Amino acid sequence: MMDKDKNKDLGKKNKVIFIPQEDDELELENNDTEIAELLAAMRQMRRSIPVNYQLKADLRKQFVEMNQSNGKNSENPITSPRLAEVGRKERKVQMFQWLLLLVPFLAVIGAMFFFMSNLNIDKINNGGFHREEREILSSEWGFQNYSHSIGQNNVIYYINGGSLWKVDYHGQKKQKVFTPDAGEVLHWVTLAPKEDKLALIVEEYANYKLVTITLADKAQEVVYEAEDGQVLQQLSWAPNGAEIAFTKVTQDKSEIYLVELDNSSEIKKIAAGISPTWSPHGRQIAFQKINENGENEIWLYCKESEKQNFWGLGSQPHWSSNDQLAFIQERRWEKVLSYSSHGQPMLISEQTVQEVWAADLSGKIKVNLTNVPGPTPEEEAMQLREWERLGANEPVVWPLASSVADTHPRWTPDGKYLVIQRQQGNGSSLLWLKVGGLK
Amino acid sequence: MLKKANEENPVEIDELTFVEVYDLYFDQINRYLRYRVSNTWDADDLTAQVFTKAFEHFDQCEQKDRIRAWIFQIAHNTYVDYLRKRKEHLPLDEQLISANPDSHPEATALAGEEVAKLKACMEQLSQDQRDVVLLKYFGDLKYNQIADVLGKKNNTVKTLGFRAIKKIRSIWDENGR
Repeated sequence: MMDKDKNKDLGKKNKVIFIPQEDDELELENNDTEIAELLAAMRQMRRSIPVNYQLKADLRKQFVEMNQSNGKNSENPITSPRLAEVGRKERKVQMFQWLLLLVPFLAVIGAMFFFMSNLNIDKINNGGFHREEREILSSEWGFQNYSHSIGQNNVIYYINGGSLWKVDYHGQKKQKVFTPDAGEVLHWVTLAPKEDKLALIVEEYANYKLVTITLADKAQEVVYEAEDGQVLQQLSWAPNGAEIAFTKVTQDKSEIYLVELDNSSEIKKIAAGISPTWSPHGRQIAFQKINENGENEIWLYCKESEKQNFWGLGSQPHWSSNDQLAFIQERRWEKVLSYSSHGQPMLISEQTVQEVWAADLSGKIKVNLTNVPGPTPEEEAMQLREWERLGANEPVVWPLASSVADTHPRWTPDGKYLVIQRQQGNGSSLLWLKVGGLK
Repeated sequence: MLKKANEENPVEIDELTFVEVYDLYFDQINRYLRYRVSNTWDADDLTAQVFTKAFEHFDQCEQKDRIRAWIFQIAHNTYVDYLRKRKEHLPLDEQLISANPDSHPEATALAGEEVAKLKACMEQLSQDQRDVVLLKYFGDLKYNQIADVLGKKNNTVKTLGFRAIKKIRSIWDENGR
């Protein structure tokens, strides 16, 4: 060991720095009291720092468990409670950040839903509803009352040329089902709930009768025969299959009757009106009436109470399996085509069209499914020229014949589509309509 | 049955389980890190990290006289990484040092006084000098072990330690006892 005194006579430049060897360290400490005190203070400082014994125990437990399970498991790192807490806080921050991103997105979605729900209730009634329609079949031989009835298994029964036909939903596979006897004309058809029979109105030299036909063997059964001068129309088979509602027109009145198939000798009058349609549960019948103003109204008849309730304006109702009503409603256009020099309307063009509507049972949501366009500019121009040619000098309201008339809406069994009859120009067609906007 | 290992009776390394090593050195490592890091939570986190790393690489430590240095090397590196991330100069937490619920209040007061003095002395040292002093007097490491921990030459470490002690002594004397 080098003596520190060796530095005593040496200048600063030549001063030897004493570097203790390992073995000298302890001796140095023991010999230098000042250093010893200093070191004692250091050790006291060390001892005064508290140890986290809770952490020690927790970590020890984890190490012991890991050793016991599979020795060292580097795939399960030890985390301190503090790290776990930091991790939880970081996850909370991340969740908060995601929420900040998600809230505007949800707000946009919510606004869209709110807008769409309002759209369905408030705006669809004014038309402009996007619809889909497809032609099933057509005829150019003037007006045809197809009187169609729709079955479950891709089949539509309809009357054409006095015979009963059937076709699939796409207008394919046309097939004649029944041809009446000579002198007989078929007018109306409705399919039984079990789809094993059809009910028909058969006219034979102005004598009307209600007939059922079994599809399997074409066996016929007369259910009811009207008296002379009475006309039978518009059939509707009850959901339970036991009754048929129909319209009987007698001179100046039209009434709805029920006939029980097991006891067809008696018929029961239920209301004054036409176009009966059964509810899916069989407890009510919707039908059409004309009020004092000549407007068509739809009413509901309750079988149990035998009471009638006003539902709304419309005609030719048909009740779907999911409690929606399809009906026909007239829409009228009126437009002034010419004014006098004093500003007085001289020629008013008017046109009334028939459109198919669908509505929920409450009547609050109504959808115009066909939206027939009003008079075209060419039609109005032609009308104006004709009026000028006639030289009329007084105000005239001139009705224009509707080029399109939709009638006879019939729901498919699932309640999603309608098959309607459209008269356009000189032809008639069956159209397939997709119904939407009610839900 | 394994012999109980403690600091006075060191046992061959191949006879020590990790848990026993953990029991031996946890207090020192925790104190060391709590001294160096102002935030006790961070210090405890670092302690957990140190022993996690030690646990994962325990098989790699085979020399019996290396275990202490090895643990402190991990602790020091962990501390340096922590510093690098935090980029802060961490002063000594005086309250932390003087908090000893088992000590006599008067002793605590006296300890606090000297500790404060020592703190002031330590803050005058350079980072390297402080590292050497702390590893020596907190970790009870020898200079050659400190050299391994710090990645420096043996003589360099000795020089740093010697100069640190001299400086502390001179400051200590200037401030009075």
